[in-house]
Amino acid sequence: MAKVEKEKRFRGLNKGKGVDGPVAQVVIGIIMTLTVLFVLLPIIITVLSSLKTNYEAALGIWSWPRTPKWENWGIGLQNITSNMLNSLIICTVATAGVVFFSSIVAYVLARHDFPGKEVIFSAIIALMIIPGVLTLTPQFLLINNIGLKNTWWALLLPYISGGQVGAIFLFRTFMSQQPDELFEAAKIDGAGELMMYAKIAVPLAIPVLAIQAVGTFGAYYNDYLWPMLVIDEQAKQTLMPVLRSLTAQIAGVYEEQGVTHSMYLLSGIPLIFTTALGLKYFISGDFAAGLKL
Amino acid sequence: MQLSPKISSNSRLRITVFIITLVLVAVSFLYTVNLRNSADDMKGTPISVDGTVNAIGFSGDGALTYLGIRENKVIALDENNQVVWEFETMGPVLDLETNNGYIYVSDDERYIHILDNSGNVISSIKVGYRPITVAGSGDGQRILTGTTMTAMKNRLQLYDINGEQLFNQAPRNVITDVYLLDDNKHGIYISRNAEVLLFDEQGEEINSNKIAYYPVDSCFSSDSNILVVSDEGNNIYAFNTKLKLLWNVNLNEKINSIGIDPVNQQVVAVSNEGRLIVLDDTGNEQFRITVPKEIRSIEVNQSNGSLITLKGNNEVFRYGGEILSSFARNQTLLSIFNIVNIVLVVALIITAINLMPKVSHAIATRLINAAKVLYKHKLSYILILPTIALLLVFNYYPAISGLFIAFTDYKPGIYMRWVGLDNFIAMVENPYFWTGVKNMLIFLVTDLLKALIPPILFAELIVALKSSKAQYWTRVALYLPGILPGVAGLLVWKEGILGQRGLINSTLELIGLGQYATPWLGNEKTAIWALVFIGFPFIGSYIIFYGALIGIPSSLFDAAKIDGCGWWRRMLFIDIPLISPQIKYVFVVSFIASVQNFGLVYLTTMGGPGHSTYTPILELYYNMTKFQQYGVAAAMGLFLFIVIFGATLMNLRIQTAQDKM
Repeated sequence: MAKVEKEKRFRGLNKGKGVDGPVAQVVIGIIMTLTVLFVLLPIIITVLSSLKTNYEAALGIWSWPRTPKWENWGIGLQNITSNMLNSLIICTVATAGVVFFSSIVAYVLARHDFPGKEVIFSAIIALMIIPGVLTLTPQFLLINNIGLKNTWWALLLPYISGGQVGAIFLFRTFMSQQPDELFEAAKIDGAGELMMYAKIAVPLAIPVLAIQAVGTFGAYYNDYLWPMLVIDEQAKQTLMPVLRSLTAQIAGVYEEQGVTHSMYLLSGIPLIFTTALGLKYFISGDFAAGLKL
Repeated sequence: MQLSPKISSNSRLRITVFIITLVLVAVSFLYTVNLRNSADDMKGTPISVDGTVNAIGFSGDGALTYLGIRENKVIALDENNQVVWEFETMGPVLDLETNNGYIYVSDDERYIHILDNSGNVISSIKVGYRPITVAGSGDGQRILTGTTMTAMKNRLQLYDINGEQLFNQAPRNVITDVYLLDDNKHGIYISRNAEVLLFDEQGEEINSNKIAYYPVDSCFSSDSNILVVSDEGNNIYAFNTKLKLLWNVNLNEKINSIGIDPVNQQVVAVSNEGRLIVLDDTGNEQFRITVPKEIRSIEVNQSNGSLITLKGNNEVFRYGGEILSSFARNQTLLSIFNIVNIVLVVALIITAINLMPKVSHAIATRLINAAKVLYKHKLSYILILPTIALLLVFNYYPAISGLFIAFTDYKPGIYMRWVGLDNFIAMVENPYFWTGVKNMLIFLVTDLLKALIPPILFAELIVALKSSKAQYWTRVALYLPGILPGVAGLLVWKEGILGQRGLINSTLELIGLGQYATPWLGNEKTAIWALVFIGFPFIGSYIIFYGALIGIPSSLFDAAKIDGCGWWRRMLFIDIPLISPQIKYVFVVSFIASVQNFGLVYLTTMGGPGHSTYTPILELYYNMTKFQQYGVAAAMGLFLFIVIFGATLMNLRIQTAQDKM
């Protein structure tokens, strides 16, 4: 009797009731379509607004740009290029620094055995619970006192330093899972430490290094408060802190509202590349599931 | 109890060395303390002045100090800071200059008074415009003044003692300083548009010289015939009386005031950061000292080199003539003795250990072993050294000094005073702070709800989609907004969606609900909720939950289905407990991000309208930038840290490598 009951239920399950049923699937489909639409809304609005003439913009947000004003994009790009280049250089150097140094440290912590290893690791990881807001004032004063204010070092050094904490944690976990046999075999073949780092540990860790690089780059590219505090000159500044004032300056010159929106949109060009790079790793969720406490 | 003579003499030697070191340490420390105290003595003699000092001058013999006061008077002080005489002017004193026993004072009622050393008025001349700067000849016969009416009307005027106007020129820009040369035939003026000009008896320009930026202050010494000018670009220029540039230097610090000290043949400048910078008469920097007081303005007594400084507008201090060199010497000695003290203390410790041969032996063995270990693993240590050094300087040091600065009144490079809990009291007594905390809590609760509920639901819905293609493309689409930078996204929300003519208002009008349209962020009632709404539909970190959900073995789902467990119940009782590690992670990360979220408010409402969206992090930023209250800023940082730490502590168990990833 019980068996028959269970069989029945199992069949019911396969018939596609509940969540798997066609009605539910359509409802979920609609919900997800709407969600996607809402999520993409800011981008859609920006693209549309950036192509409108002032007249079309005045007609309201729902008006459609009849003949897309692509020249808005040209003007917009022209005016964010120099600050975007600053951002690109700073974020690239900072990201490279973070990945390079933290991968070395992670390798040493995962593969070497030396006195004080655990203490050092704990001391590094302890920084994870110190939020930026506590160190903000003293770090600013430090930069000020050692004369780095208004130089790129004021961005690069704290970025490379602070970014390593999380990266070391991630990389070490990953590298300590790499098979010991590989390293032992290499050692027997006479490979030195640097060789094993460069030829075994790093190549095996490429996905996790890439994920960290994409995340670090994005975080620094989007950073707002710190550059605003330590860089005074617009010519040296990264893009994000000056985006608003840049659009205000340009609005005074061109008086085209579309240009403002094109600048918002185009300020994300570097992120298009990192997004594309990260897509492969992030989208599967395999990696994301590892973020837990 | 027989000690061999060798050991006993050895130990006697050790004890002697120890005692000598001990004495040296004591002497050195006492001397350092003494030096420190004498550095405090450098504060100078405060002079109580009833009123706001606008101008300072000295009598020819240096015995009297004249203060031009905003409250319509000139005060003469002797060397003991006693008032010798007072002179009532018509209006607030604008400038005061002395030459050979004559005092020239200009006031805001457009009078120039010529006084003698005893404060008797020789003549009062009415000039047409405001005489913002004045100079006079050594015979008391000629008065040169730079005047202004509005920004556009400027005059350079020469009068004789009877008020007869000898010339009246119209320079191109505001005259900030005038000087009459000793030959009475030439004068120099400094123009606001970064020019220094030499002119003749008729006021006609003979020669001019450009400086890089707007002039800040200048000083002319008739003893050494040198004119020094400082500009806003931190430059100091020295000219001779033919306006030939003798030298110029850049001091890398904003200069507030500058003076010539002909006695010691040096140039003294005061920086905005509170440092006295002394240059020799060829522009070489002699020393740069941090003074215990902030100084806005400085005046050098030409006859004895003593200094009068102004802090703020009415705190006047007098320093003796040797003050600068002795202070610099003390500072140098202090820095030397700081090192000497450290060396001596180390020596003391070593000699103390040396007193006990067994202990010293044990310590030596340990040290050697430690060195051996270090050497053996040198590669490991060298490889992690750069990171450790960076973390120590840029993360550990700020974190620890942050705890310290929060209890001090700190002016970088000037002083640091322990104030106990004053910063925290100032913080909580500020009514905006509590408005900020209230808003922070609103953001915190909503941010946590937004970070957990919609993302889990979306993740569940995506997993529930049967078509894996649909799943994939949904995830791709949800990932795409990452190409819009956070700042740009916020600005789009502010203008395009929540603005007066934004998406929401346009839609309301479209469907005939135009009367509900409002500038959502500009309306005190709606602003904070409009900010909460930014980011709708809050997909957040759904991918983390998605990854966790697809990691749940499907056999569990099947079993649930067989047992008749519906989607909702399965989600609540099976999925959520299984993904609780991820929930905890998102909770902590969102908590930290929410408390520290600066851009959201700064880029949209800047805390307004009124203070309806003010947050503590915004106030922290203003304390650091606008108000330069670093102590209060650090105290707020500490407060926010405690808030965050409380939440983190509830959840955080740091995973070490032993835990599975």
